[in-house]
Amino acid sequence: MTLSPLALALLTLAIGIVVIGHSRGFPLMGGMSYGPAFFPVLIGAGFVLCGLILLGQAVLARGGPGVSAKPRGRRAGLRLMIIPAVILGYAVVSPVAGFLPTTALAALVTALFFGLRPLSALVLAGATAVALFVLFQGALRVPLPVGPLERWLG
Amino acid sequence: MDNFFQGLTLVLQPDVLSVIFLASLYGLVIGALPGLTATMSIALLVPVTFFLDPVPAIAAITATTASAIFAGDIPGALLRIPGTPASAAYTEDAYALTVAGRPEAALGASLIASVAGGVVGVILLMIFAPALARFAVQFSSVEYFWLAVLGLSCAVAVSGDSLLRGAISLLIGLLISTVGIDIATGYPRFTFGSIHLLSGISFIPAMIGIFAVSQVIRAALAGPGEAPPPPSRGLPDLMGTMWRALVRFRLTILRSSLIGNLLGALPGAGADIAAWVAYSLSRLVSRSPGTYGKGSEEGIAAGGAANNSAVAGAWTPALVLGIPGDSITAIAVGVMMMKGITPGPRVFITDGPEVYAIFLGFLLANLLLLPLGFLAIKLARHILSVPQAVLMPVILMFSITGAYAVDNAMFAVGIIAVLGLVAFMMEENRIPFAPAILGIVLGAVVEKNFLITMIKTQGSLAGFFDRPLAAVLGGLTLVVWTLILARSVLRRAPASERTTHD
Repeated sequence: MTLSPLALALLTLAIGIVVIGHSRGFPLMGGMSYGPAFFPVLIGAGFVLCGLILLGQAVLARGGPGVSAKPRGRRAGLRLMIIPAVILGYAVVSPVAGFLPTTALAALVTALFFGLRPLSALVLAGATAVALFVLFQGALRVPLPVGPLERWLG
Repeated sequence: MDNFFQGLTLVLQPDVLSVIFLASLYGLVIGALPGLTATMSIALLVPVTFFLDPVPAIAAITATTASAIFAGDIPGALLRIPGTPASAAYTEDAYALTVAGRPEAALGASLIASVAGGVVGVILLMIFAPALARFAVQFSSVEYFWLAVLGLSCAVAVSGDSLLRGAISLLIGLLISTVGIDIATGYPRFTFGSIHLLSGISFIPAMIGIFAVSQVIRAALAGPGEAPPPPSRGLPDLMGTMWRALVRFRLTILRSSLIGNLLGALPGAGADIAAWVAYSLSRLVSRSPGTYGKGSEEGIAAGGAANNSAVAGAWTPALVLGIPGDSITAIAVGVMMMKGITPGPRVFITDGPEVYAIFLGFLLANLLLLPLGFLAIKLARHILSVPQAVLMPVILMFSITGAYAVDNAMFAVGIIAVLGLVAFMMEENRIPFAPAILGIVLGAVVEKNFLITMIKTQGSLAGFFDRPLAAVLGGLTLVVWTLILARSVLRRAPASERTTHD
């Protein structure tokens, strides 16, 4: 997802403006001239400055040959979102279903997506879930999300 | 000397020794896999270290780094794909030797140089760190402010081809560091009413998102792919090759170790740059500069020694000043603080035995690299044939579990998804990570010491140059920025000339 020079410039500029705008709402402590807004405003100003330079470069380069984004083929957007979707799905499902089933399912989906054969994917998913459970819950004593299966295991 | 022997006792515990052994194996595997960097191996390791005692926790980090940086040479030599960026300087040479039918010459030189460079690097660390600490006790908030600013400036200066993109990366890191309760006034910034964000964006999930999840996203976008098959030849007489390389290139290795250590200790430089500089310098003084790039064992030895020595050098400022030199020590500083070891000039007084235990564990890990690296080279074919379809699900699930384990909250799992996407977008648009990481770590240091100084001097900016040491550090920072600006202006001039001629 390579952005065009213009888009990158505008995004940088927008981040700077939003940061400055938001920071102006921070209160100033009595008697101090440098409050909690001081650094965020400085950072926002940095974004604005970088955005303006990028904008200048983008406008100057318009006459020249544009940098074309790498071709990613069809459904690139879908492939880009699959991993974040698996992670967020995990965050929603695991508190209910528990660590072992959710981890196995998420690993299975990912492995199938990467083109592993179904049987191998199933074995890998199960092994990953059990190995992580043994490492974190068993050896490191970290409480992992509990579901029916984990309750049954004790 | 008391600290030394107490440290030795701390290291020679069965649990510490087994942690060093396991971490070395882990580092070898991750480092040898193309695309998985040494920093990523550390980011994934941190959730595990979180639940260990301080000494084994830090020992795990040093052992993993040392072995991962060496292991990056293996796919570089066999497949022409450097396993970690630190191996890139001499990948052409190593691969040329493999093509010529002598992979053992490439890997032997790289392993012996890595071990020697690592050992020299740790010894230099043990000499320089206490010396720097004795000097740094006189630092006050002004000096720390300037040191942090200097570190951030150097990170931008060396961040790659575009200074502007380095600066944007730094700003992203600094912005992330401001999230949460403001240290001076207690006002919650950029929390948007979420209680999870009050304590800021947790460091470990941030690192996992930036270094591990971004790579899984990248692989997912590339789709299913076949790993190139490694050559199936054996490696005859590896041991003899190593021994001969050590004797032949002893001066190159020693010189490169010294340079690597120094560059590693500079904020923002790190192992990648150390390898390039040592390689180039070695070529300059070489009797056979013509072989460089075409299979020079000398070049491999120079770069291999420098990057492993740099890894140790980066610990000097991290430990003594709390100012990390690279992304790996930035993570390590975070882990030390979580473990109750506060990096700073007083660390030798407050945690003397622990610090020496860290040094000795580091030394041990580098020595252990000799047999383990030997084994890894012999088994390289099998490590390199692990397909992505197996690797990526495991890395993803490890990332999720690790992020959850540290905070015990699903919020951290959300952070790795968001920052993984952000890091992926940064990489796509050639915005480097390193300045952002240092920004996340040093942002609070800069702000805190700035405010403390302002309170001390009652709002006078002149206070930042009052003390001689502060004036020197402030002056250095200004010099770095002058160089940065001069370089970008000089670089732009010929470019605009070219466009007018077109």
